[in-house]
Amino acid sequence: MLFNSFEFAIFLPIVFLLYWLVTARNLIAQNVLLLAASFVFYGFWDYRFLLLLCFSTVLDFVSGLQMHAASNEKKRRVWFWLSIALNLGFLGFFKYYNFFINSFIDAFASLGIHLNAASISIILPVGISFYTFHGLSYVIDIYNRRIQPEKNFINYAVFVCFFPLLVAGPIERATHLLPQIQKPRIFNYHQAIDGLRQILWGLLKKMIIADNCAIFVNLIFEQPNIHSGSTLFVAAIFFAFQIYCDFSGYSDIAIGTAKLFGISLLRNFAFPYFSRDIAEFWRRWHMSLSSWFRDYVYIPLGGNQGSLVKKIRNVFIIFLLSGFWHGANWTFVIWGLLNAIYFIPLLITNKNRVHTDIVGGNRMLPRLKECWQMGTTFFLTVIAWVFFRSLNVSDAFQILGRIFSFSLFETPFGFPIKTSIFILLLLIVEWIQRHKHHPFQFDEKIPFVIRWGIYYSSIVMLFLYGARQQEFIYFKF
Amino acid sequence: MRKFLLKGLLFGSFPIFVLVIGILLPAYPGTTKSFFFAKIDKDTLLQNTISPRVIFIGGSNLSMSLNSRMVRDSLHLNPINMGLDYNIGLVSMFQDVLGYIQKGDNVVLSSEYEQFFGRMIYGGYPYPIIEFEVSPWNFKRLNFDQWVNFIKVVPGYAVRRLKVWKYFLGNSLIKDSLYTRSGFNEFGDHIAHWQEEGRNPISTKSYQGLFNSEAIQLIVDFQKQLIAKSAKLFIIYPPYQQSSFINNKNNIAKIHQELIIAGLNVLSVPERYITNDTLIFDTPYHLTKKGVDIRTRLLIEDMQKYQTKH
Repeated sequence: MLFNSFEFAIFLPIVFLLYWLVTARNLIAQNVLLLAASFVFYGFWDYRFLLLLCFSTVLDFVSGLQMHAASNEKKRRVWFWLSIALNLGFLGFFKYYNFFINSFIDAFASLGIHLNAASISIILPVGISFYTFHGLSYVIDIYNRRIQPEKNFINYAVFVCFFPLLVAGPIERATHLLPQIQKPRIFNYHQAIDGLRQILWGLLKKMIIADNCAIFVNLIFEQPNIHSGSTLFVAAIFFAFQIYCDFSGYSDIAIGTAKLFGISLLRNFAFPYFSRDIAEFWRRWHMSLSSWFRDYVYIPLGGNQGSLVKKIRNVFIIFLLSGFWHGANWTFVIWGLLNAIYFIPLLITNKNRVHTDIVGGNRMLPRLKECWQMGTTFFLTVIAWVFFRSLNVSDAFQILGRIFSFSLFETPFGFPIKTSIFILLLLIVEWIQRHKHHPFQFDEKIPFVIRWGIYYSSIVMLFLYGARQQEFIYFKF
Repeated sequence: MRKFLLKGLLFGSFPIFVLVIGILLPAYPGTTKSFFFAKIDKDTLLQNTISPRVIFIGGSNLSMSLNSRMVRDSLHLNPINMGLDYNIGLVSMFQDVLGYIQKGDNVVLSSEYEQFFGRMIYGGYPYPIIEFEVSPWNFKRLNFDQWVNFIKVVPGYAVRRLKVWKYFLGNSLIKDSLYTRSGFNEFGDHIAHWQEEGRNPISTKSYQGLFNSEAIQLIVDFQKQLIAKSAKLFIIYPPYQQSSFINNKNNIAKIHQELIIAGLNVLSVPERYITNDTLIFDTPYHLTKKGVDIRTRLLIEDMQKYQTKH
């Protein structure tokens, strides 16, 4: 079920009303309802996916209990590795099997050895990377004795399967979400209203900007060889906004939806295109994944401790893993590699934590230097996005070759003016509201006529300018 | 909670009021000259064309990509091209023609592949246009599933009707468009684009939803109704952009397999109608004039082969 679908518009109010009017006084009933709703939500894609989700949930739940109950370290370790191996095994099989087989065959073919191994048609279960990472964080935290295992299966299942975050995050942590599931939720008017506002903002980003950008971007990236450098550059910029509005739009809807149920999820985006360097960008982009890798991979590897070589190695590992997490394609690996290359100079010069404040302070406009910094950071991310979006590595190099050629100065083909105006509006609104968690976090002092006027005009815009319903990009990850 | 619900009701009542206004507003000037109003002409054709007839049912793969004159000259049948837009849905397309079927009619179904996935057979966006503006008298025939799809698209339709400035633009609204009622010829073929070059449309990556076996059953039932009226049903595949075909070849193979299993009169294989991207006009199913003629020739050959066999 897509957040931007008619089905969800029916589903959400029904679950909301049942939750607060029927099950409000009973924690178990609330959680059972959330779990049932999550299964319906997820089963809408393909009911067969539910089997894998259930297996993964039961596996991590049992592993957690067994690790805690283990009489010796050896048993604890066996359960830990069993859970890790099975989780990663499923993820690897569904997501990477064909990639490895084909890469293996290609590698041997380049040596003149022709192997015959059939790749198989595997349907990628929606959101597998997200719920696997949920489960992994839980198991690792128990193994490291950071948390106690959850003894109530329903509570744990809600933690993994809670429908707003199930298919595309934010990637939650047991330490943050489980305590909220364990205690009764009480209806909070302001939280619910804020949730609705955030949902509306997410829908605007997804349907008006991301889906409209997609039309142009798909057209250009499908046949890069027939377009000029200028057209390809414009398409790459539009893709930067498409992926941002698509994914952060999803996160906003997810976080807003969770607020309707009295649950607060981790923030996932903090206006990343206002970053002054790549390090800041990565603190503001897909924050729940970045912090996951930081806590469960980077820090265990030594983090920024030790020799410079070791630090650089750790950064490369993190970014390569992050790229590979996105999908089974060398384009994602190179995207990760490129971001590591952007990051390393900041690490070496110890400038990776220079920009931890909000750009522009309380000023109305940014300084010229800040504009330059934001512009160059954005440009670097756009170059990296070319790899992310391209169908294969050779396409990406071809596109970059054209962008860095004289055809960059030709008039771009089919420049989407209307979508550009929407992007400009997005940037203005986000800039004004950059101190808030989301731009529709209005001060209650603003007269309700203005607030409602904004809501109504947003809804009208969704219908007037929202492009044809498209799936969220991150579903395939 | 009470405050939240009351405010929610208050907030929701205004958009509902606006939606009702949007639906009740009169049609924009010049609306009757727009593309979907060609449906009225096609219905008239269906009523007035004399036997022997060949009736083409499908979406824009027919309206935009068939040369009925060639069909008439080669097969000596009077063609009626009922194709308009695949979003109308197979259920509605069949409802449109059933009442006018005559003894001995040859009905050729050339359905876009999308019809076999998700809930497309029950229709998509043009529904409100058709039901509110083109043929409101048909409203009562909508079944439950069609209603579900219909309700989904009504809000978008109502909001679009609020563009009040369009009332002052008159006929200029449709004058510049290629897609108009006057773009069709006497057989129901859209010919206004025949002089145009291809526009390199983007290929279809995948279809929305899972394979819908109801679509097959619907065709089987339709065939039974035709047989009861002493008419015949033939299935032909639509012309399809090569790149879109490659992207969806497994799904298309599944459709073909299911149609064969259902025992329907399938005249060829989908691969036969793969169309080089250079012959594509503006969507994977719309062809340039050269493409239209090639497609029509293939279709005629397939029908002739059938006639020879039987």
